Amino acid sequence: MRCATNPIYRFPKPGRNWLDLPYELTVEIMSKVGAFDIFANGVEEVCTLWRRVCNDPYTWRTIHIGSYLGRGGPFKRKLVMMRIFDDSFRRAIRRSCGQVVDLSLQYIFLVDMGCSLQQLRRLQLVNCDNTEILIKMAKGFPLLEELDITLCDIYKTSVTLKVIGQRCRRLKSLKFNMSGSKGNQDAYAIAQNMPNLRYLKLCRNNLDNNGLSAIFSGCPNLEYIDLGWCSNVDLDGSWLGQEYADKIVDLRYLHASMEDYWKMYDRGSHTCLMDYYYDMQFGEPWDERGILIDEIEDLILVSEDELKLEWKEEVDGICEIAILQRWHRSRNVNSFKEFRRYCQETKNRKSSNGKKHGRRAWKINYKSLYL
Amino acid sequence: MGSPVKKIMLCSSEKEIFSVEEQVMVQHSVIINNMIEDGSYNHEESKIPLDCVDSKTLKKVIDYCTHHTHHHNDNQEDLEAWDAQFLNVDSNGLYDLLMAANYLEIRNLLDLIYGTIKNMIKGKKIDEIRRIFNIKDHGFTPEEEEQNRKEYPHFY
Repeated sequence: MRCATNPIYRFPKPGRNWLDLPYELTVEIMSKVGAFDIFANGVEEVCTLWRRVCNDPYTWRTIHIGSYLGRGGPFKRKLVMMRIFDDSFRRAIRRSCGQVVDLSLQYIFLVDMGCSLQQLRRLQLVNCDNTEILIKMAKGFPLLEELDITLCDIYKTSVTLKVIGQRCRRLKSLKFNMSGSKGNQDAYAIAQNMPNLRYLKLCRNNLDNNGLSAIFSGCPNLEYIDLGWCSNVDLDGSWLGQEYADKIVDLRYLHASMEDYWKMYDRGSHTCLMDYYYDMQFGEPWDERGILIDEIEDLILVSEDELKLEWKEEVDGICEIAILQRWHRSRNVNSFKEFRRYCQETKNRKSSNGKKHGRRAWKINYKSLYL
Repeated sequence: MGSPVKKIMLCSSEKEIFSVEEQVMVQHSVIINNMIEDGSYNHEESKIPLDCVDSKTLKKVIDYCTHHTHHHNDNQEDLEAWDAQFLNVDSNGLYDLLMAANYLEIRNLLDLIYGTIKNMIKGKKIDEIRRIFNIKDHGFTPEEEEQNRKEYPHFY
């Protein structure tokens, strides 16, 4: 392609025809433009060449979908956006034919992708729903090297970590920024199942010194470890700090990584999550909309045909279920009755407390926490 | 006196010759780096012919490489501002730059151009995109086009 004898190089026309661009460059451009614009703004309908490029699995080796949805604004809009993200994600995955290498998702309701992603090296999930399905999917990506799960709700984090560790033996980098299981379960799961780990970031985990020492002995290749906001770890004067200070190239712990957290917070994920919960609690009283949990069970399985429906009409479907699931799970409520009672309690608390739980959390000045 | 800065000659499609510091091009362009390394370039007599890059584009590319070599310690914002100013060209200019950067394999410049093109496409209607990129023959049959317009009126 870089051959100078190609006539289009020698005699450039006065008005450049972008259709003459070498095919790989067009692929690269479409890959940069991304799924959201290609599907939701109809970029693929510009011309037949672009449509062909958008159908090429090669274009979909890198898939980045989802963006920070902003604080405030109508909640409905967020649901609409999330629906579009969802739709783009499924179409992109289908077109990639399992050749995707780098997958980065935000605000996606994960589903079983139906094909195994044999080439996948990097997976990033931010604010995603239904992340438990990773347990099922993990055997589909044996080459995974980098995994980043940030601010997702997983019911049993230790089980998920264990399964991922067993399936993805090449995992080198793990970022797990969310509250995990009680006690040291997560740490033990990592120590037992991820021996090749080099980079580890565990934020807001409940592990203590025992868990940390288990990780050190279980992952001998560890070069970087970051335990932001893990308040149970205490390295001051502990043998752990001295033992591993020279072994670990870069050890950061406790408030040292506050800066990163602050960055994340700045970028919006964290803000958005708070916002999200705030909306869920006080924005729209969903529990008065009369949705029954039993009905939801059926709706979770979305078939291909349903995808073809207009998303505008479907907004109240998937996204609400996702939210309900997240809500439901985060409270560890197991039956519908309990769930109802919990909602009632929250409501009462809200009215007596002056409803400011979410807002107050938002107003904490994180800068003042720098030590 | 220090040793004189090594220069290399680049020859554009109009046979105009540009003299550039060797270090500048070697650092950015994979292809020139390979050429120098394998010894196929002779500093006394040879010049590198770039038949598919015209003088105007070559001058811009050299500008880019020189600036990024000498100012790589500047703060990020200044560099970004300079880049934005640098890529403030029409779509024809951008096309030429893209071809040149691809030919010379200048990774940073390519990424920069892709980013610009992405921003040009983002959030635009199809008719607008066709105008910007001068796409006259979209290749759809009139029936297909008609159907598309009927089916997705919000795209156009």
